[in-house]
Amino acid sequence: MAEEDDELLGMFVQEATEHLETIEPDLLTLEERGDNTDPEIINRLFRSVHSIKGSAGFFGLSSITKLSHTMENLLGKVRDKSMSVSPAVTDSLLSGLDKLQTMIHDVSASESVDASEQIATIQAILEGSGVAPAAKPAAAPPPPPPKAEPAPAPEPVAEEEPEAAAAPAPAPAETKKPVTIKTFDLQKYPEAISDAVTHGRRFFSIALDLPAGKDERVDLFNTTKSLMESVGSIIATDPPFQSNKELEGVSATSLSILLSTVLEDDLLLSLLQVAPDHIQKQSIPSGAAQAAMTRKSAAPATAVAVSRPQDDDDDDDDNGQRQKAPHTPRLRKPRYAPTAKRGAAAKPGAPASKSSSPTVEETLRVSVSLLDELINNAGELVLARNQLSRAAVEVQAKFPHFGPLVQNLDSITSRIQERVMQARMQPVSVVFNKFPRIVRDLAHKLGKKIDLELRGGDVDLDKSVIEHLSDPLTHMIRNVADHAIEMPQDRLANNKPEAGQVELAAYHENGMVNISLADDGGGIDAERVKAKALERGLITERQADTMSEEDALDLIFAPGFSMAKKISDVSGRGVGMDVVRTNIEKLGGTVQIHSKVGKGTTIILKLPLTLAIIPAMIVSAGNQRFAIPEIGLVEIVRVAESDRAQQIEIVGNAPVLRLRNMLLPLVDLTDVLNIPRVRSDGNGHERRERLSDRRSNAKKTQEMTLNGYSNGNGNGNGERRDQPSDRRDPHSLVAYVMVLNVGGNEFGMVVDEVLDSEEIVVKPLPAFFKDNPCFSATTILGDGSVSLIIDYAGLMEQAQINFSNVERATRMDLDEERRAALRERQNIILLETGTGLIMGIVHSMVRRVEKISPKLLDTIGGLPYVRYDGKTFRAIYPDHVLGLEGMGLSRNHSESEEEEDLNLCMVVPNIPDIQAGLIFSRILDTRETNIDLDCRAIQAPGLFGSAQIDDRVVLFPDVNAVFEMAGIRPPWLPPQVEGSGFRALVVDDTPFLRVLTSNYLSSVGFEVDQAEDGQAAIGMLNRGDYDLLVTDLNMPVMDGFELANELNGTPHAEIPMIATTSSISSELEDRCTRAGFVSCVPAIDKNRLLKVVSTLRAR
Amino acid sequence: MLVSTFTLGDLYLGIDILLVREINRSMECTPVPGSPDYIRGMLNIRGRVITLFDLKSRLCWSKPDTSTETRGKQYNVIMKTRDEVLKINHELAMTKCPWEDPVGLAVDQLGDVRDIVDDNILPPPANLTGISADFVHGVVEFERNLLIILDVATVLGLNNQATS
Repeated sequence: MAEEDDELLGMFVQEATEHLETIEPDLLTLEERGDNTDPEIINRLFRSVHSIKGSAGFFGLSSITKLSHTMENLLGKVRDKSMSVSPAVTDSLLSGLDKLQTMIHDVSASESVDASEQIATIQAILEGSGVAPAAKPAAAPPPPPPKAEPAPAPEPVAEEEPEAAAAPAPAPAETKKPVTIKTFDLQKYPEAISDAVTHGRRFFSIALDLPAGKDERVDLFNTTKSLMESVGSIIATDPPFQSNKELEGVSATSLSILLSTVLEDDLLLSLLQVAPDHIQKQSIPSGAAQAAMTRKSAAPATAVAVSRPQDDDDDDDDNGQRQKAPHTPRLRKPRYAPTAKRGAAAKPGAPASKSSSPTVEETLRVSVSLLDELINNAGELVLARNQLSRAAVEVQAKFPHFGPLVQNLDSITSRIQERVMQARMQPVSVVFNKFPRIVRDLAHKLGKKIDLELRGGDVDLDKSVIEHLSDPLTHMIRNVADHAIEMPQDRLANNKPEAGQVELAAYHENGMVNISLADDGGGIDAERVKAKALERGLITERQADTMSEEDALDLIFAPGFSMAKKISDVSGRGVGMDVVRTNIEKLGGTVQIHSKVGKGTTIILKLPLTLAIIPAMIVSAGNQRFAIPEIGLVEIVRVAESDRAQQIEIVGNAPVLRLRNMLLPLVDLTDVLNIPRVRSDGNGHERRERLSDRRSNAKKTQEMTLNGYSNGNGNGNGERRDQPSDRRDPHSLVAYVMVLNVGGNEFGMVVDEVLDSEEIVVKPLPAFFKDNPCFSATTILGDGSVSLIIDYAGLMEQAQINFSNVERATRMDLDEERRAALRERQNIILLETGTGLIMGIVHSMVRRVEKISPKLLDTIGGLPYVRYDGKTFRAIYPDHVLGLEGMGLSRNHSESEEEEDLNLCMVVPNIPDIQAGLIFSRILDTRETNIDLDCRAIQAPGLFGSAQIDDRVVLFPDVNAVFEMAGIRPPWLPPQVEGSGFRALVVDDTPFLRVLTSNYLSSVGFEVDQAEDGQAAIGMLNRGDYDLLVTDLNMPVMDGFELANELNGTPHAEIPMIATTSSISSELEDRCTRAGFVSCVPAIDKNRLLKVVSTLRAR
Repeated sequence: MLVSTFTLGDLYLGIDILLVREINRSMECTPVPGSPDYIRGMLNIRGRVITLFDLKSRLCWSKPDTSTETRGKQYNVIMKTRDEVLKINHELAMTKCPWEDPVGLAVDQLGDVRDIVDDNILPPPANLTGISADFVHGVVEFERNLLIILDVATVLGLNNQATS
């Protein structure tokens, strides 16, 4: 029995919580609109509080009953318009609501919760309202009704029983009267009848002896009422009354109540504990039933609407009851109750829409565990299907019908899985809806005005995501209210609306759900963020200088960061945004922030639709397979053993990978997890070693070679293994580095193999492994085996990588070092001309290289052309144009004729609007190498110079010049620049590019000097007058930005500066503009450079 | 009570049958790096991820035998979870079944199901060999064999008092 009670109580809590959820937004609306609030909202409020009260009464939860009762009284007044909505009213109701929430949250302790303060406040308002105090006064209350007397009132009915007629008579002395039971005229309550007919209810007229005391009266009635309402609905009373006040004034000693219920009289008797003679069954007049039914089916809505307005209190009772009606059966069969309840709750907003309305959307309440089980099995079904599909391939040969069957099963399975996953989805409004209240409270507390707008509340997210969204969003909203939105007077002064506009929106994008929080507040000042971060030691000064605005804004997510000038009640303790980021990343999402000072800030959370299925890479390490969530996976780098020494090195005592312009800390998955490394070397022996061993061995090997020792001196047992076999077969030892991003920090995880990319179904990690931070969950792979899902953050922790500030700074410095080491590296394509010359062209000069058949070569008007891809390209033989044929190695043309025929290639340059290509016989190689450009050894117009690569002389043609010399000009006029008489300084650490840029400038007449870094440039600037400064941005010692910074404020600041870069982006351009550059151009783009120069000259 | 019995080396062991969900032939399982020796790994049984304990290693403190030959002949006794036990016996779930994840125990050979009168269950004798008394719920004499009834919660490391 006790269990059953628990179950019922659980239902009550669930139901009450649902009510509370609607009460809050409704109260806020009430507060906002005041007396103009839609009466329906007030009604709904009333009903919700009312049903909480009713059910609480049923369970004997007197604290809840008392509080909700008081609230209901106040709401009743508001609804009657006998009290106008003031802030005091809504405040008291809201605080009452909070108390209710507390109590319902922990029902068992609710009795001990003290709500007297709230009750007193509300009571005070009630009493102060001028409409008769709710308590004692013996004096008859002022005549109740501003409202029209409800129609179904006391009208004595024809076939009324004799005693009943006496009822309304003011007869104070008649305490011991024989019981009078009034028979109600059911015809008056057509909806009640139709309701009763559809739900199989009966009508009873019950007499209630009223005690003399007014308070007792009210109490008795309320208790009875809640009891009755738990089993049915009160249709009418006789004498009728609208409020407790009126009840107090009722002079009769007995009250007749018309109840509609499904219970039989004996059950009702025992429940209500009234004497049998106090109860009388009323049969439904058949005509009335019929009429009611027809009417209902004819126009249910109208019928409702028409009959509604007249009854008032009854109406509420009625509504309260209707929501509760479904509870009726739960006394007998609790199991069905939630089902019906859900149906009723599905449309809490629908006004007087009766539960009898047949169009209520049917929903079922299903336990999450059941759903999870379904999902689980759906996942299994998918696995089984996959296995079957594989087997089907063989079977199908024998049974041709088998294929379609499997396909059918296949599509059904997919549908099932998809649908089942949908069942877990919930609208984000579940989370969103609590924010209006939070914002309101915060605004009050902070003395600000904030309008919160919610959009996209109907966007669905997986339950698991929804559950974890609440805290981060709350943090964010708090921050917005506290930091972002200015005080009203400041806003007005800045020509902004007094109330801060905050929008919380959810929408779909790229298969993710975005949740954006946008405000029109003060915005975040990147410089201030930097200063703050510097002050807190989160970044170094150097970092602060070079940091982009975006990176600076990102700092607010750093642990321990707070922008608040002082710690407030609301925020400013430096916990918050980092928690937001951590939480969102835990969900597999990302956080972005955009801000404009003075304009506002937008924070965007990108979230996966579900956590239950995620895309993942399946990798292997030490013969075991692991799943790596793709979210956070930046790229995969393949490191061949032969390159290991160059790419992986030891800094401190940790291995790092050189990757473009950063050093990436490396973690070997096999090492961190401490699993046996099983690999076979060339001889089939298994061996075990660690990444660092392998690496240092490789390095040793190299050093030895460099020192003149040739291979073969492998006396150290470690070295021996690494040497010859690995070098010969680079495939025998290849590692993959998964570049992962955790909270903005990147690190590389070394795995043996990358096997597959799969959508995996996430299953929780058994409790036995919860201590292990490296794993977040498990999954079942396609072949049915269990695999662990790697938790990056945990792995980092386990491997003790931490990106503390000091280390970050060292990383920066290392970057610098590395940059210096790599500064002369260029990606070049090596090509061979028809005459055997080797030419090198910088990769970025080339748009594409096409293999063409010589058949496509044609001569039109004496000039060679290539028809390719529907277009005609002018074919240019660079060696011809440059007049270098003679230099070609004496190749036997006749011999190589055939080979050439098969192997022509055309280099289409990266110059806009030029339809021409350089013809070479073949591509030799592409490589990243240091170009030690020699400008003197071989000189020719159109040639930058030559360099030795792999013991061969490679010529570097000036592609622009070659085209010009061949008479090919773009359809547009080249920039008209006259540079003669002006001096330019070109600053670039890469000699090749320095020469290139200088050539471009000198070709139009500039007198050009060169400097190899910012420092050198300053020296030269101090020594001579320059009219133009063209500088690379990435340089050792002093880079372009630093140079600009340095020159700022000196007389040299007058010199126009142009930045060159290898990779241009709008972001970089912005940064350049801010740093004082005229423009930023790609390092090799002659036209763009000259165009910019020409605009300068125009000035 | 009905007891499902099995052997593990020389030990004759039993588990309350109400706690047993199913028994399977041994199958491949995925080891979990960093977990104790006595946890063999995880297996997938109809979409449920089961944590498999190497009972021998757990009870006898021996190194787990990793040879596939030995393992291939073994059986996995898959236990019910607390939720499943709750459905059939509330008290049993509350007292004897603290684990909420599906678990399995690897055993050598399967025995019969024995009906045991509760009164016959004795406390573990002091001279019990081959198994720590901590893991023993009680013993019953059976045809000159000593049937050891396991305290599964302790075996799974969920009874604080007993794990050492």
